[in-house]
Amino acid sequence: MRSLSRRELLGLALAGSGVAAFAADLRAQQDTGRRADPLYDPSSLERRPAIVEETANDATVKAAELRLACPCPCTLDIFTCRTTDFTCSFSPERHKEVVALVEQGMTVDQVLETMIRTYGEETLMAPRPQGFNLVGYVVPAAAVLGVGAVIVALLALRQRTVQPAVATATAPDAVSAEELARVERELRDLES
Amino acid sequence: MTLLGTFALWATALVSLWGAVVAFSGQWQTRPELRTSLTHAVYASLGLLLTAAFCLWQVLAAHDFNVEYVSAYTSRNLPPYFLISAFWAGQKGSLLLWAVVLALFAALAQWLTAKRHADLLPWVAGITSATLLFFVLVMLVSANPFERMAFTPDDGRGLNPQLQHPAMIIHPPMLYLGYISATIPFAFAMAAMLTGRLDTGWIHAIRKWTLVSWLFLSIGITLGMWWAYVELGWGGYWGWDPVENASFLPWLTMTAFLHSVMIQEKRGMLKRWNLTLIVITFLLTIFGTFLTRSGVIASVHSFTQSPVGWWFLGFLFVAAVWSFTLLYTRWPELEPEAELESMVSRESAFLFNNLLLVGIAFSVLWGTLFPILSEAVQGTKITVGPPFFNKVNGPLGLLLLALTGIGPLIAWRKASPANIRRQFYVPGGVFAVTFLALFALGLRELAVVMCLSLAAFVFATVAQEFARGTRARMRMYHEGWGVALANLIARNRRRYGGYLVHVGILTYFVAFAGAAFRVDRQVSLRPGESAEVKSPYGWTYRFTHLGVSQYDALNRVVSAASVDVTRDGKSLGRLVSEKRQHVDAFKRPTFNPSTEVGLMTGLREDVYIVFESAVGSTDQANYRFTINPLVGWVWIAGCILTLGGLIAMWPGSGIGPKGAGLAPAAQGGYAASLAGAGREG
Repeated sequence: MRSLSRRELLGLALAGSGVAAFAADLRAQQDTGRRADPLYDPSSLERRPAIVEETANDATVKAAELRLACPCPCTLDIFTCRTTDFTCSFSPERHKEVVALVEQGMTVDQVLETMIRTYGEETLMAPRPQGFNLVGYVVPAAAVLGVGAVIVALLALRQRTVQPAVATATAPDAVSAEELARVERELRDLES
Repeated sequence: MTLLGTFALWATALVSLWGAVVAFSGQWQTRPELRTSLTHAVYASLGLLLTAAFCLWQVLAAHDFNVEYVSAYTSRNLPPYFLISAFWAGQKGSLLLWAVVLALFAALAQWLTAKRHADLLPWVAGITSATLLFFVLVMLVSANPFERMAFTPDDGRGLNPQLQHPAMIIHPPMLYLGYISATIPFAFAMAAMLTGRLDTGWIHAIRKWTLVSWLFLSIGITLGMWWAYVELGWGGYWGWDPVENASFLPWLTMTAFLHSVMIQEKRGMLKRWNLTLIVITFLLTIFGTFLTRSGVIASVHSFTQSPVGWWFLGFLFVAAVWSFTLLYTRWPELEPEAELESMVSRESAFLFNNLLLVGIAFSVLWGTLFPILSEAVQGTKITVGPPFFNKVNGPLGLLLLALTGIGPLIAWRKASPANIRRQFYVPGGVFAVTFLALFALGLRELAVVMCLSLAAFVFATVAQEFARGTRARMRMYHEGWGVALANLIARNRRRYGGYLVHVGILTYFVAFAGAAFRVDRQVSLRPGESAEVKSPYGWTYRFTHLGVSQYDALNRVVSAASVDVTRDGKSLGRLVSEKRQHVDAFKRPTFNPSTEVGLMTGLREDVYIVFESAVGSTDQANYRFTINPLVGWVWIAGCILTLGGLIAMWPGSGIGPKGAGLAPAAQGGYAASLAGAGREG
């Protein structure tokens, strides 16, 4: 067996050191990955954090996501959920879908239409004002306007019948200024 | 302790049953000792429930994990002060809190008004005892907080991290105080109908108690908004969640009552409507409880689905049938003593104010229940979230804001054109100037411009009232303006306290308008890297990521990310946002990770940062930076409103016991007429 020259031995040693250093570095990196860090343990978090892309801040993406409901029990919209509840696995997926649709050149309304076709009306944060859901939007305003109209009509009717009596009751000449000041003073004392 | 606690609950059930039976049998009318016994039953219930509460606190503090409730909501390493909030963190404990607070208010009603409303109190005792009996029975049958398990775990699950916040020590009790005390005005109203004593006397008792409920509920709701803002991490404070709506509904009807009751006091009108509002308010508190405890509607705040909710639905049904039947039988005796005379009068303004408040309540209730209705009709599920509520309630809210300014300035009975001109000349000008100025500044969102302009209008009306009153006192009594202002408020606390409440309300509206200008940006930053966010005011915020540190705390592992914040190059300081993994005493994770936001509050805007996560377990961090304009004013609004409410309800303010007998409706109407004539002259 040929004996190694000093040069070869040095070369091998250097190469070995390099491999060892690389292995140590690799191991160090792996150690970092295994660092006791229960916050990012995939077993407790379904979602693995990734670098935020600039598309996350796109105005169209955000506008669409604010109108889309997250299917997790959070009751939030997609944008709010994905930037708040970092354990949710649904909102990041829906976000990716929205980003993909926006990158196809879709407007907010087109994105919403596509999402409704896929997931149904439930995917919206508020139903579209059409069909039976229009009732949802119209009834409160109609109720207030209807009752308001009835009150106005009744008041108008009553005003006609009690006009003369009021004119007498509110006539400023009925009391003198002194009397008025006294009554006001007494009333204030009474109420305090 | 659990044995004693359960015994105390059973004893309360028996005592409450006794109270209810004696009261409704009517035997106390002929036997004075039974009347005394009724009062004693109310006090005894309070004593027994306080004993039960003490027992629950004892087992919580002792970490008796054999008790199911203790095991479910505490752990050995839970900071001691959060044992307080653990009391009401779950269904069972919160029901006990409910019962304790109800017993407390029932006892206070007997104690504080023993002479003034002696003829009503036995009935009040009966109604509060019956309600208390219901709550205690629900606990004993379905949700006993003292229930023991067949085994003892080595540690409890711990308190939900989102409830580990100082606000949760005070927010739920405040909300409960408001919610539960609504039972007392209901009891007085029912007592008045049962006795047939439907003169104006009873209305004073109800008004005071309603004001107390309203104030507690207002504080509770605002504290809840603060908790949601600083703890939940989504950057908002109100999400039209069903549980939030449940607390808002009785607030709206109580507010309507506090306005319409003035018409009854002054003119002897709207008696039927006022009684209806009181009944509806009470029923809404029970309905809200059903919503949050039945699981019928999804909510982040609600308790887990349980049969308890259906008990409440049954109780709601019985209470509704009974109270509306009673109201129906007394309907003819509730004839108004006067008629509305003009569309342009304070009565009309209050009537429209009531219409809007009840309309908003209806709209909120409608929106909350619409998913159920829609699914029943169409067979498909829908979500009804903030966009729906904002769209439907926005215009109604603006109309209400306008009436907040208009109502107090219009004369009673009938306002003349001269009165209107005199009263609205300045506030109308302020509205117009604000509107044009905002438009000139480039604001184009009509709702926001209207909201801010109307807020300026309301502020001008209130300022005008204070200024005129102060000037009059300075002239009449030769007082300095400070003394005159103080005396003005002190001499008519109810009126000027009410005006302060209006200032609080308009401040809420201004703060809400700020939400339209919220700015968010999500970024990933390595240590030393920066991101910029432009604020609506034109400033540039720069966030420089410093790094992520990890450390163990008492009951959690914390990852804290820090940023240096500058505004237009000027340093504002450092913000830290955390992700917390809560663990039990054996270092086992107990809940999903939670977020602690980093917050810099200012009068103009808040800087709100959320640390989302570290990327690949490195120091690179994902953040959401949010600039939230005017949020700080929500809390200021809460303080103003509370101050106004306290002034208005301070003993001796408004028409008190003296006035109760001396100022019947007709006299009030005459006085209002004279005062109105004077203003016009």
